[in-house]
Amino acid sequence: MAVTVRAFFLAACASLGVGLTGPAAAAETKVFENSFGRVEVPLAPRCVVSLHDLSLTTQLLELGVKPCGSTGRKKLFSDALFRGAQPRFDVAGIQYIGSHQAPDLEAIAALQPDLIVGLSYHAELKEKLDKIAPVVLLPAREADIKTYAKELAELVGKQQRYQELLAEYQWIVSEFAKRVKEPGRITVTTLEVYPDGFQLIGRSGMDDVIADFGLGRVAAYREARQNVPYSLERIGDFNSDFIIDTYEEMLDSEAGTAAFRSSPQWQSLFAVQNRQFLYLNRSRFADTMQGMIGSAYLLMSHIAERGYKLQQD
Amino acid sequence: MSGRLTTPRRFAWLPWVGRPIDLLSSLALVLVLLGMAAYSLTVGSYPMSLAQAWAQLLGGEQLASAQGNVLWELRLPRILLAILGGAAMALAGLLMQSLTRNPLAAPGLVGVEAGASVTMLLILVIWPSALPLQLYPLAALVGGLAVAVFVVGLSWRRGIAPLRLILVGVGLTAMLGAVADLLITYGNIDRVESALMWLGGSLHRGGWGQVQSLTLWLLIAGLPLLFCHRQLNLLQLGEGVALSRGLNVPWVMGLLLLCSVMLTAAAVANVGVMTFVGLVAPHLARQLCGDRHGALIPLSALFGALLVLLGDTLGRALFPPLQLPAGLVVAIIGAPYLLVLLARQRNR
Repeated sequence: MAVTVRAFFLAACASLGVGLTGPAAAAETKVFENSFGRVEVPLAPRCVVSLHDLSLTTQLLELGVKPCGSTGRKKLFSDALFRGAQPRFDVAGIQYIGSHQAPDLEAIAALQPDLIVGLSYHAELKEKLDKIAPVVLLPAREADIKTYAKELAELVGKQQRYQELLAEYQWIVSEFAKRVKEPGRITVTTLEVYPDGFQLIGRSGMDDVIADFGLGRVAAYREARQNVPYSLERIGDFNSDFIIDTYEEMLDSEAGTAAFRSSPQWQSLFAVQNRQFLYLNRSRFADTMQGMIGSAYLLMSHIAERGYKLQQD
Repeated sequence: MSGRLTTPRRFAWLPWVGRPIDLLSSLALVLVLLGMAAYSLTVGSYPMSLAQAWAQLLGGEQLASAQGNVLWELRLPRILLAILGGAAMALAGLLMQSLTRNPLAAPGLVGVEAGASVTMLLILVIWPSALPLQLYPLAALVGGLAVAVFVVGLSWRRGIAPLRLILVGVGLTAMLGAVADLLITYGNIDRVESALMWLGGSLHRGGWGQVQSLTLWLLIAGLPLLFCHRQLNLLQLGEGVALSRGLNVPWVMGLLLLCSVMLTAAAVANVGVMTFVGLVAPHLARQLCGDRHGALIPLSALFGALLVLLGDTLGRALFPPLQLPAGLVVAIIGAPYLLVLLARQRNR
């Protein structure tokens, strides 16, 4: 259609036209392949644009790559916030390019990137983005953190940094295994409480860590669907040895959900009665390798390095 | 002078726009629309002057390819989509107002907008992988048409009864609105955010595919309306008068309703929900030509196109790179203007 319109316009103007030219070719390239396809990408990308701050921007920074542009959260009259990356990393020089659901393609084009990284749901923008720079989609929603972080590290040539992070994480997992002999007996529920209910969500890679530690889940949790809102009435179904919730300082979520936690249903939970309810800062880490490492250390301290009670005992 | 301009049928070569003043109004709106489109070409996060944009349009091979890409792949389809989407919504709204003889009628009255919205929400929030992206507009179209057929079927009583149509449409729209709210409230937050952008009437994903699709629907359901001004004028006078003048009322109403439904569904599917445009654009056009559909049809389309283009341009220009959905901007700037117009009318 573009070509048709252009041809029409050029004919009308009696001018000679040319077809659209693609993005500037990088000096050296390699072929990157994952479940979303094969893409020819620069060997050493100069300007990487990230379409998701919480997963990709933060993971890039952890790998030692500062993206030139990133999506983020922004209110109308305030500065953009790159979730997960701030305040842990210096984000000066990262250009805000809009929200992750509606990135400003012109802002991306203005940066003249040589690589764009996004998530699976950015597939609908891929055709347009491909005309700006090579686009690689990563399975942050479809696979675990280690998988997509490994792919990202390969993409930007930071495999060694990834291996260092992985080694540290695996060391914590092995340390946990040494101290906790039958982790499957310990049940854990990760959730997020809201003023009017709760959802089963494990932030900062916590669910990956729980799986790698071999900790158990109650039957209701195993059968439940994630990201489905539950009412307070259902909280008893997820009565576990440990319950992990997170708070968001910026949203003052602790005060907003205080009524939920003072309810009799909540107070009667095993974890609450035995001081095995963990309330963690959800912005401390992102869904990244360092997020997993942080979550692993937290669980190590709160489960492996202290006494606890189990419902089975 | 003013008498010459407002005398009907003064020039034989003006079959639809019966009065010279209507032609002048149309030309003025076309010029404003072209001016707005030219300005819109220079607005965005990628810096581009009008001279550069013009050079690119003329095939400036020597200019940067990134600039050409921004112009041809991002800005131009978006501008055309705004114009086409606005025109389609305005025409759909005008038809609904004329058929129901209700100035408050909007394209969403027969549930087509709600049907298309719920279909899109189901796809975006519940089954994002159920359909390839290219088929999203078609799915919205099917959803919208299905609901519209249902509403028309329920309101049919030896022809389309306008009052029943309104009541059934309002009822079904309320029900579908509740379904939409349910999906938004309890859906996955990432997917809901994406759906909300679309519901706000955002053109940020607009491409040549949508331009092509909307052009086709406007040719099928919009262009023929230019030849239906007489029928619409008669329907405006009531069924009795229309029948006495030999109009096959049920057939004509059904056909025009189908056109409105097709235009709404196509617009919603390609540019999102912009009900307000369908409501306000015909009212703005009436300020220039009254209820004469010969002029009202093209003028409404032009006002609709102008409104959406203005909304999208402002949405891109106000807080870049944050992009405000055009539908929301149009509602914010259009609603007070509509209130002022109606207040002025009351004082006459």
